[in-house]
Order: sequence, then C-alpha cells, then structure tokens
Amino acid sequence: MKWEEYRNAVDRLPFSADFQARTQEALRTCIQEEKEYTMKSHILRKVLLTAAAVTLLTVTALAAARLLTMDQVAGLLEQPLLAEAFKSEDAVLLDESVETGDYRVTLVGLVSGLGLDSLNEDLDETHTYAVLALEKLAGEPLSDETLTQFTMTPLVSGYTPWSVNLWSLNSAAHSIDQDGVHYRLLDIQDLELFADRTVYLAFYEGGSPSREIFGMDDQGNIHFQEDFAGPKALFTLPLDPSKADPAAAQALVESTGLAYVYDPDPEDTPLTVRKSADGTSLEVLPGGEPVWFTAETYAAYMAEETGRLRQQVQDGTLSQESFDKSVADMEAVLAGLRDGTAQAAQVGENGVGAFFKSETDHDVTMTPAKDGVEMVIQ
Amino acid sequence: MDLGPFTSDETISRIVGEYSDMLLRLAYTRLSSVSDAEDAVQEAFLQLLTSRVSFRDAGHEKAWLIRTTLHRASDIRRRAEGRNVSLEEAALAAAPETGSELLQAVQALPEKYSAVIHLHYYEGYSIKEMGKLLGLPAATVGTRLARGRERLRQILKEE
Repeated sequence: MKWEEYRNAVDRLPFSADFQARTQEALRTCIQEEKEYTMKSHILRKVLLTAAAVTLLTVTALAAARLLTMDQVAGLLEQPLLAEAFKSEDAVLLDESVETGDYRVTLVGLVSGLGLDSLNEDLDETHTYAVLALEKLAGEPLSDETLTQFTMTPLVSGYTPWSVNLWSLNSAAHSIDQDGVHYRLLDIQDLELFADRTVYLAFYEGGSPSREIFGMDDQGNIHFQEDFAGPKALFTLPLDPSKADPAAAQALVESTGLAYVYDPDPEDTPLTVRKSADGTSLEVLPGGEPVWFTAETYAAYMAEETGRLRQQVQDGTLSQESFDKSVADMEAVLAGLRDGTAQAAQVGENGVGAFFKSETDHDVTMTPAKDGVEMVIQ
Repeated sequence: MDLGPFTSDETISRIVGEYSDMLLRLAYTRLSSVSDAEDAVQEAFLQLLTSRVSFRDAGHEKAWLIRTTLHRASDIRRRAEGRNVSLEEAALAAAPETGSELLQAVQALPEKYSAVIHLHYYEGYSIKEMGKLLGLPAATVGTRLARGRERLRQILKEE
C-alpha cells in the first residue's frame, strides 16, 4: 500500500490555521465562566448539602439499629485492633442498603489502615476493610449453598472490572452469621490508592467479574449490564481523594498484566493457526508472524521466564505448585525441541505457544491472552 | 462543572500546542470532515480541563488525550449516524478534503483498526508503543494492525 501517499494526504488536510488560538481562547473562557459560577453557587450548595445530610441520617439510623456494627463484626472475628479502628474517627459508617431480588444487602462501613488485623500476611501494607451484611427479605437464614453464589468485590472506575477486583487486589473475605444475617468482612489491598477515581463495592450473583456482568461508559464509569438479571447492588465508597496515589495505582494495575482499558468491541475471532500437511510449519492467520524458537533460543527464553515466575512465587502472587507445573511444561517443550518432536513460537511481543507434532492432526488456535498466547488444540 | 488541575495559562498553551496537530489527524481518521475533527479535539481538551486526572509522565498524558479524542470522535460519529448519515459511505463517496483513496479507506475502517493503522503508518509508533498508548496488550495491537491492513486491501479492491 502507498503509505507515502497516505502521509501526504494527511499533511494536506485543511485544518483551521487558527485552531490552536481559538481552542486556547475557548478553554480560558470556560475556566473564567466556571470560576464565576462557582462563587455564585457556593452558598446554595452548602444549604443543599446540609439538607441531604439530615435525610441520610434518618435512613441510616434504621439500618444501624437492626444490624451488628462494624466493630462488633470485627470483634466476633477476633480482630481487636480492627474493631478499635472501626470505632475510630478514621472509620466511615455508611449503612447503605439495597433491596435486590429476595435479598437486602447493606454496606455497613469501612476503614483503611496499617497492620490492623491478623487475617492477612501483609501486615506492613495498608489495607482497606469493608463490612457488608446480607439478609433475606423474608427473614429466613441464608444457607452456605446460597452464599457461595454471591460475589462481593471492589471495582474502580476507568479500570475494567476484570482487571481490578477482589482477586487482582490480593484480597480476602471473612464471614460470620448472626441472627439470620450474613456478615462479610472484605480485606482488600489499599483502596485509597484509587481514591481520585470512583471506587465501588459490587454485590452480585455470579463468579469473577466479566463482560457479561459489567459494562463501562466512555467516562470509565462501571455499571451492571442491562440484561444481568441476578440480585445486584453497586455501592460507591466515599474515600478521601487527597490520599490517592495515581502513579502507584497505575503501577499496581499494570503489574497484574490484565487488560485494564475497556474495549467495547473486543476481538471477536481468535488468531487461527494453519498447519502444513506434514505438521512441520504453522501460519498464523490473518497476518500474525510467529517467530520460531530453536532449542537454544527457547532455553534462553525458559531461563528468563523461570526467573520471572520465581519472582512471582517470592511475591506471593504465584503458588509453588503452579510454578513447578510451568517449569515442567517448559522442560517438556525444550526436550521436544531438542529431539524434534515439538515446535514453539513467539507471536506478537509477549505471546509464546508450543505444540507437539503428534498433536497436529487436530485444529490449533492461538488467542492473545494474559502473559502469552492461549493455544487450543481440538 | 468542576475544574481539574489543568487550568493554568501555561498548561493550556503547552497542551494545546503540543498535541493539537497529532490529535486532529487521528480524529480525522474517524470522521468525515476537518470541522468534526476539530470539534472532537476541542471536546477532548475540555474534558481534560474538567477531569480530576493526574498523569505520572508525558507518555501517560499523551495516552489519555489519544484515548479521549477517539472516544469524542466516536460520539460525534454516532450522533451523525443518528441523523441517518452513513459516515462510512460519506467518507468513501465524498471526502472532498482528502483526495486520497487510501485515506478514505482508512476512514472507512472500524475504529479499532483505523487508530492503529494511522498511529503506525503516519505517526510511526511501534506495536509496543501503541499498546501503551491505547492500553492494550501488544499482541492485540499486532492483530489489529494485521486485520486492518487486510480490511484495507479488501476495501481498495472493491473500489
């Protein structure tokens, strides 16, 4: 294709010569108008906020009288430091309830702090603790079987629900039941890092967050999909934006290796691998270019990958069992490359797939996935 | 409307001066006129003004503006389509501003392909760099680049 012609055509586009000056002027005018408006509306806004606070107090008092308090929940879980923190002025009492399906779910409140509990091993890291209560509207107790159907997870606006959630934030949940009410204490990696964004606590019927359950709008706001029929609630956490650390938050999200930018129209078909009749070469369609490993280049790749995985084990993000299995798989591929029974390729910049020639009577597909290429042999 | 941290005269001058040309070209790949592209970029700058975002470095700032411009261009495109105007057809049939079949064909691509095609072949970004700018895995960007090229071949063959 004639890319020089393309570049020349783009260069000839007749954008307004005064675009920059006009835009700068428009932005400055906008700022000035906003400053004037803010001064006029300040007093009115203060009055409205006071009225709203009175209304909120009326509603929360009803929930507070019926449920255990946050510190009582922590006490029953034998966490005295956390119980004290839940009674401190740093704690945020919410008692926001949503009735959904046959259930009422209440976000009781939350607190963030360092070394507040003995439930996790990261005592040198700040964690956020939130208490939720779940009860049946009809009043009967919840069975263990019912409880396993529900998920309670933090989510953060601007990041896909499948990248930032209970699992990727290295969180834990602890439960007790009292008087027919199920209480869940979520112990989450410090959510205040994300406090410059909208931070949610989602309750819903189902497993880990997925595209079928959640969607996002252009501003990064998260919502339940319209056709998601199960019980659900989405609370917003009132975190202090001054405690946000956007750089640390972004680094944390990127370290997960998960796709954190929402793609409203994801790839609908995977890359397809077409094999030659003798099973000795593959062509990745449509247009991916695999770089084939030799035994030597794969050994170098394996050494690097093993080091990366070992670091994950040390960081506590990978189990020893998964590490051992990954290393064993790589050793098998390396052995196959050496004796000519296997082939392995790198696709794109971070995807590696391998197959054994005995398997090439089957259809093979490769799909870009977390940390590599998902290779399916059918 | 609340204002974010990007409101000083110096910041506005720097950001508009530094990014306008690149964002206008990118927006144009999604739209059928330079005036629509100018609207999309102005809306993106306005959104920056009112967003409480902070950037860890220049690359993050550029990536945010690129993604926001693409979103605003898509909004304008959808609004136009709501008026029963097919922009793909308009881009192919009219496009008096381009005079280039290849540019018109890029405009007719779905956004996920046109953005990577333009960023790669005009702005010169590598697959890895585009992955960071668009917040996508490099493998996905590579796939989109390959599929975008294939779609372009089909469009140009049909013409």
